[in-house]
Order: sequence, then C-alpha cells, then structure tokens
Amino acid sequence: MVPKVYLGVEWLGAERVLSSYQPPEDCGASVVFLGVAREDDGVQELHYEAFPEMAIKVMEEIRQEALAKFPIKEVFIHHRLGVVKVGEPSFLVVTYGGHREETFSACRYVVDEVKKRAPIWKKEVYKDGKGEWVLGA
Amino acid sequence: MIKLLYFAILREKLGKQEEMLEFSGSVGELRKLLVEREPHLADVLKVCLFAVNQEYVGEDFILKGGETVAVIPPVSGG
Repeated sequence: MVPKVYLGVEWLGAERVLSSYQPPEDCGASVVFLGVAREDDGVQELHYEAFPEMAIKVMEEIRQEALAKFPIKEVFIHHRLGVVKVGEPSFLVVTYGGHREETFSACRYVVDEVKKRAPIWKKEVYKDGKGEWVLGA
Repeated sequence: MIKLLYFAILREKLGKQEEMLEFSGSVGELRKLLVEREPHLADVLKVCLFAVNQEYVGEDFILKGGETVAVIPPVSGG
C-alpha cells in the first residue's frame, strides 16, 4: 500500500506511486512533478531534515486544499528525508484529474505550497564535507 | 514552563534539539527573549516562524505554559 502522503528516508519512487493507483474512468490526465537534487556550485549532497509530525500534517492539509480547489480526483505527495545525492529525487507530487488544465494547476499548487509551508529543511553539502542550511524556498 | 523544539540550522548552532524554558507571554516576546539570549543567531531568529501544537501561530499568540513550541527557520523543502 503506497501512502498518499509520505515523508521518510526510504524513497518509494514514482513508478510505485503510479502503479499503486487505478484512476477512475473519467480521469484523462496525470501530472508527475519530480524534484531532483541539483548540482549547484559544487554541491554533492542534500541533507533533508523535518519536523515530521507537523510536516505530514501540513502536507495532508495541502492535499485536501488541492482536492477542494481544483476539480481533480487524487493527489500523492512524497518527500524524502536524510541524504540525497545529486541527481537523485527528493520530492514527488502526482495529481490525477479529468483534464490536463486542472491537473497541471493542482500539481503546481501542491508543489509551491509544500515548498512554502511544510517544515522541511535542506542543507547543501559540498565535496569537502562542509555544508550550509538553505533558508527559505 | 514551555518546551522549545529546534530544527536544522538552529538545532545545529544551539547544539540541542529541545529545551524547557520558564516563560509565559506572547510569541513576539518569546522571539525577543531568544534574540537577546542568542544574539549570534538574531538574523535567523528574526525570520523564524513559531508553531504551537503543530500549527503556525502569529506574534500575538499567548503562551500560558505547558505548550510545545517549535521554532521554525525559513523552510526549504522540495
């Protein structure tokens, strides 16, 4: 069973999310956003930390907001914690809807709101092992 | 007494994840107290948000004692 909202060290992956859900027949669109650790000025790893109980709560609130605001069918929000190497995924949002327009809009909404509101932080760690916390989305 | 929770940059720089503090008053007053106590972290503390029982609260929120207060540096998930 793949959870709709997930936060953890283990990465479940987009394929498992997509194959876990059978959308209703009036569902014509699915949008996948995958956030990937980017190599910025020598960054080698990102270290993610969260206030897990609150982050899960905020992610579920955002999921419910998206389901209320847009005529869509389903939303998955997964975020990884711990060490994420450059090139690896850290953040996944999947939305399902009748048509592409609302499905794209809902996906964008969820991505933006999670980045703004969920108590999750990343530290950029460089080749020499030194790191710096990123403050603000 | 309130219980303070620290995360990310604050947890690292303060060298602790939580502490108990004798305090009652507004969240704004708590921020001021923390800035006075940790002037080297003033830049971060001034832009932190505060959450009580896992809900963001404003500067006027009154802490009576007994609450768990999370000090939330600007978030950077995603």
